[in-house]
Amino acid sequence: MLPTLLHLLDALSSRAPQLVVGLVICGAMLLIVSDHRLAILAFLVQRSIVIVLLWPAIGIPLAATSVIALIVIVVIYCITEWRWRGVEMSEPAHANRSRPSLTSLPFRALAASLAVLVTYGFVQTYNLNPLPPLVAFTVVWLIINSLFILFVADSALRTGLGILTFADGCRTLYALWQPNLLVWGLWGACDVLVALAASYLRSAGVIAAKSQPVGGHE
Amino acid sequence: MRLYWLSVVPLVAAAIISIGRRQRVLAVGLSLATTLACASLALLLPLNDVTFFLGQQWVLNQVAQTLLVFMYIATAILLTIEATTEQGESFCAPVLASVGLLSAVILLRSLLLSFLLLPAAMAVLVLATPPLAISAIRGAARFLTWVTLPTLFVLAAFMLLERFALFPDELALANLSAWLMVPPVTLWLTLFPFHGTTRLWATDGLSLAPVFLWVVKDWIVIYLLLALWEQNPVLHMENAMITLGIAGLVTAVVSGVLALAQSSPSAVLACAAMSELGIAVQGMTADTGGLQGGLFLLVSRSVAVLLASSALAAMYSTSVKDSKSNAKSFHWQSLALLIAFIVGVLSMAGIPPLGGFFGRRYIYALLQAKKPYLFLAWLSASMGIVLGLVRTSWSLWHMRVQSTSRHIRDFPLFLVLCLLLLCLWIGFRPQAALGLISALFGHWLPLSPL
Repeated sequence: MLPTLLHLLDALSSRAPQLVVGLVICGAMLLIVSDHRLAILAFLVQRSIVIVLLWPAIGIPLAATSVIALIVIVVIYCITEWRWRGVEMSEPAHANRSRPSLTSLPFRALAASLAVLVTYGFVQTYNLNPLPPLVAFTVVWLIINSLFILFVADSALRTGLGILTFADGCRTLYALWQPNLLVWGLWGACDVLVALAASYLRSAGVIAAKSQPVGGHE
Repeated sequence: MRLYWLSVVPLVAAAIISIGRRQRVLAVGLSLATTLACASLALLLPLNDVTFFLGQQWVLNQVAQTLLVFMYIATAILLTIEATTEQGESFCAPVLASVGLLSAVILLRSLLLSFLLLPAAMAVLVLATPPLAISAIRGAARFLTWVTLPTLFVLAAFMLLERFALFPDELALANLSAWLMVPPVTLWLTLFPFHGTTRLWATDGLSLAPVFLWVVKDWIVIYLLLALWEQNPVLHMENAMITLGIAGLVTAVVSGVLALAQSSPSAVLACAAMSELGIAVQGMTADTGGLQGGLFLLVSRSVAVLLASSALAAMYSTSVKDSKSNAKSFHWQSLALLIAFIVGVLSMAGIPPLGGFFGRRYIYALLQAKKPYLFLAWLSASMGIVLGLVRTSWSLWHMRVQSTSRHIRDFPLFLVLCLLLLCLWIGFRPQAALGLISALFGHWLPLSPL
C-alpha cells in the first residue's frame, strides 16, 4: 500500500499548477463560508494540498509529521464544533442577536476577491527571487489569505484557522530553506497547541455568552 | 540530572494536572513542588556544560540560570496567589506547560528553535483564561493572533542572515534582517499598537495569565534579543533601534494616559505595567548605559507587578467571601492590601522614592540632552496612571475595604508584605539591583543599544 501511496503523491505533486488552483479555492472557501464545519473541511483540504505540494522537498518523515498534526487539529476542531454548536444554536440570545456586518456573505466574498487581487498584485510587483513563481504565489497567497481570515474572523475557531493558514505559508517557505525534522515536529506541536487554544476560547466564549443576560453586550 | 529535565518535568507535571484537574490540592501542590524543585535544580546544575538532547545542544550560562530561577520563583509566587486567593483553577496546568516550554527556549543553543518555541509557550497560556470573562476571552484571542504572527519575520530574518554569512559584502541583507526583527519584538512585547491586548485580558477581575506575561515573558523576549544581538552584532542598526525606542515611548505615553479612563483596578495595573515596559524598552534602545537602566526598570516593574497583583487578588478574594457572609466591618488588613496595591502601581508610575522613579531618572539622564520633550511625555503617562489609580482606589475603598471583615487569611498578607518590603528596598537601595544587573549582563552592556 505504501508504494502505491508514494507513487500517487509523486504523481499529484507533479501537478503543481492544479494544486495551487485548488489551494486558492480552498482559501477562498475558508474566507467565504460562515459555517464552521465547512471551514474545517476547507482547511483540511488546504493543508493536504500544501503537504502534497511540499512532498518532493520534505520527504516521508516530515510529511508524516504534518499529517499527524493535521489529524489532531481536525479532531480537536470537530469535537469543539460538535460539542458547542448545538448549545449555541439553542440559545435564545443567539437567535435574537443581530449578526455583525463582518460576517455577511457579500462582504466575505468581496474580501476573498480582494485577497486574490492583492496576492496577484504583490507577486507581479515584487521580485521574490530566488523563489520559483508558483512557490512565491503559494506563500504569498497563504499569508495574505490568512491575514484576511484573521481580519474578518467572528469566532476564536476562525481565528485559529487563520493562524494555522499563516503557519502553512511560513512552513512552505521553511521547507525550501533547511527543513529539519525536530523543527518541523515542534512546529506541528505548536499548531496543535494553537488549535487547542482556539478550541478552548470558543468553548469559553459560548459559556460566557450563555451566562450573559439576553440582549447584553458581548 | 541533565538540563532538559528543567523543561521535561514541568511539561509532565502539566500533563498530570490536566488529567486530574478537578483535584485542586493535587494541582496546586504539584505545581508548587515542580517549580520549587526546578528552581533548586537550576541552581545545582553545572554552568556552561553542554548537553545533547533531541539532536540539539542545551547549555546553561550565568544569565540563563538567573533567568530560570527568577522564572520559577515568580511562577511559584503566582501559584501561591492562585492557591491562597482561590482564583480560577485553570491556571496551574497552562502556566506549568508554559514554564516548561520557556525553559527550553532559554536553554536551547539554537536561537531559531528558541524563537519558534516562544509563540507556543505564550499560546499555551491562553488556556488559563477564565471562561466567564468576555473581555478576557477577547484579549486572549487577540494575544493568540499577535504572538503567532512574528514567525514569518523571524524565519525571513534568519534566512537573510544565513545569506549574509555567505556574502558579507551585501550589507543590505543585514540591514533588512535588523528591520525584520522589529515587528517580532513589537508583537511579542505587545508594544504600541498592540499594547491593549493584555489590558483587555486583565480587565474582568484579575486573571493571573497576563501577570505571568508581564513578569516572565517580557524578560525572556529581551533575553532572546540580547542573545541574538550578541551572536549577530551586525543587527545593531541604529534606525531599527530608534524605531523600537519610539514604539516604547508611544506605548509608555498611550498606556499611561489610557489608565485615566479605566474603571477597573486590574486595567489600571495593566496600563501601568505596559507604560513602564515602554520606558524600559526606550532605555534599552538608547546608547551605552541605557541597557542597565532599562533592565533596572524591568526588575523594579516585575516586583511591583507581583506586589500589586497579589494585593488585588487577595482583595478580590475577600470581597467574594464578604458577599457570601454579608459582613460590613472595617479591617486593617484590607487597608494594608490597598496600600500595597497603591505602592505597586505608584512604583510603575515612577513616583519617588520607588524603583520606577530611579530607573526613569537613570534613563532620563542618558537621553535628556537629545530629547528634552521626554520629561513631559513621561510626566503625562505618570499623571494618567496616578489619576486612574486614585479613581479606582476610591471605588476599591468603598466596595471592598469598608465591607471586608476577618476573612483574609494570613498567608496572602504575609506574601504581600514581603513583596512590599522588596519593592521599597529596590526604591531605597537601587545600587544593589544595579550591581546585580552589572554582574549578570556585564558582557552585554557595552553592546547597548541591546
